[in-house]
Amino acid sequence: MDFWPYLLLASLEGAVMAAVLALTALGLSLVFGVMRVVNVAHGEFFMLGAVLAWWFSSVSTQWFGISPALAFTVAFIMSPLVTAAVALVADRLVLKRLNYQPEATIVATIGILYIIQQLALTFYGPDARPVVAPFSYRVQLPWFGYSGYKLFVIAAAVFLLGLVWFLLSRTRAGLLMRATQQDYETAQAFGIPVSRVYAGVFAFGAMLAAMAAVLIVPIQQAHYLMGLDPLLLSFIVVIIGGLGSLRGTLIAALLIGMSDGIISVFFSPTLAKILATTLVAMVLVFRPQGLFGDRPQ
Amino acid sequence: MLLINRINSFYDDVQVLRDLSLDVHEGEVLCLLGRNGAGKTTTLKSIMGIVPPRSGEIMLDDTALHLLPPHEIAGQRVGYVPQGRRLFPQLTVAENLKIGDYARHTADSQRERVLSLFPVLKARLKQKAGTLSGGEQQMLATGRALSVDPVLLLMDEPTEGLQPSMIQLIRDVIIGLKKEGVTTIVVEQRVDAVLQIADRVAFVENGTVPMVVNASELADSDALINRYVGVSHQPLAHGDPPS
Repeated sequence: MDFWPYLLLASLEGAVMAAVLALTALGLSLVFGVMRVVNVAHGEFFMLGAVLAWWFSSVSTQWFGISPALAFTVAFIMSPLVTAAVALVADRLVLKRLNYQPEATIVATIGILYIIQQLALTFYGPDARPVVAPFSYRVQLPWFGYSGYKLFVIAAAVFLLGLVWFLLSRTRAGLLMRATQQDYETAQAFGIPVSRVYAGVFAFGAMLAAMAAVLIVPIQQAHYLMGLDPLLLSFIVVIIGGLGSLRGTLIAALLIGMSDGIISVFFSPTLAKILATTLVAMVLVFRPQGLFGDRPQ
Repeated sequence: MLLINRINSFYDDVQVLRDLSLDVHEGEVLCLLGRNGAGKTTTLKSIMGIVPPRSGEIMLDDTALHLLPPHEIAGQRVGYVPQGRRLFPQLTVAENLKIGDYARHTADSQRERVLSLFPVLKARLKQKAGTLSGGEQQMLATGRALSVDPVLLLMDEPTEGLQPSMIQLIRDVIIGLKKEGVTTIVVEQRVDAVLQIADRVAFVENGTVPMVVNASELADSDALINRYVGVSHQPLAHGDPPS
């Protein structure tokens, strides 16, 4: 294949990666931005989303005999909802009781990480399992054919990111989240139930990770250890973009996702990760607040 | 109206308020006066539930504010202008006012009333609060508290760092609210400002209120001022420059 078609293929792969990463990292960024909680268990919510997608999809197909497309739709609706419910329980049982103290919640979310991971191992098992894509249409370009589902993943992620933007900037719930993010004490003094906002944001962040996982699981298989990579990449994205900056998160996800996709195709996935972590190190040294984060006072 | 009965409030293990009691009458302007660190701001924060008292009672008419979670206190129509304004800097002026409306959980907005009191905000509705001038920020902080449609208004150093015309505007608003029957508690460092707006003055010292006097008594007593505010208090002269 010539260079330019090869670059186009690599860019498309990068765009899929960037789209899924943007959704996942946005959840992490929201949780940190509003709650000041570094959620180390975020990758496990991603994994839970994928595992539950397999379960819902399998049950729908085998027990009710519905088509793969409908089974995927069921998984896409139910898996994020169940993951959000698990996050809500974790918030009420653990984070709220720790009064959302930043240091204590880091340790607590490490605990949540292992609990979810081991529960997945116990009930789901060690095997990687595929979810059937809702459709298998291939888009025929002049140089190569490309998976229609992967293009759907990009479009769906962009649509979901647009919905998140709308929620945050145009709805009352978004206004309460933004006010709480900026000054929780004053927010409380004006009637905002901060504890409920925190619970909602934690569940919403987990839901975004689960949505990303459901989208990607027909491409990558569901596995109980699959949460580590998205967690690492999400941290890289959030640090580069600036902790708590949603705009920075989206731009950094595009940067990391595209470079990861392109470098993986032309060279190797390992080199892509090396470059991403090097970039993080440079950002931490030269611009610790991230590319779009506020400079510490 | 507001009865504070022997409250004790702490920041972690440090006790700031010690058996503080205060009785605020309906429709009056009560000023809290005292040295830095005496407990004036903590008194307001305790009423708002931000620093909830560990013991004692705070009754707003028949409602026990000390038993309510912090986010339900504003719903009792208690407005709060924090020290340093504490606006939401990344939200627009309109959104800051909307947050004020939120506390009442009703559809009717106080925005028009606020904008009629502070017309300069009308042209700034889409501007981020953090980009306003100091005076405009104080107007917005006051307007946001008025969005609660308060029966009790708590203002923490509302004239701090403002130019004379702005100080006068804030004083006029407080006097106007008093005419509407709003009860106001103002923390103020400037004795001259206190004399202009207050009905009564409560001195705060070491986390308690040892004395409450009528504002007129304060004008005649430099000894009181020196004792509770310190010899370096702001002068009693009128039309002086801002602090």
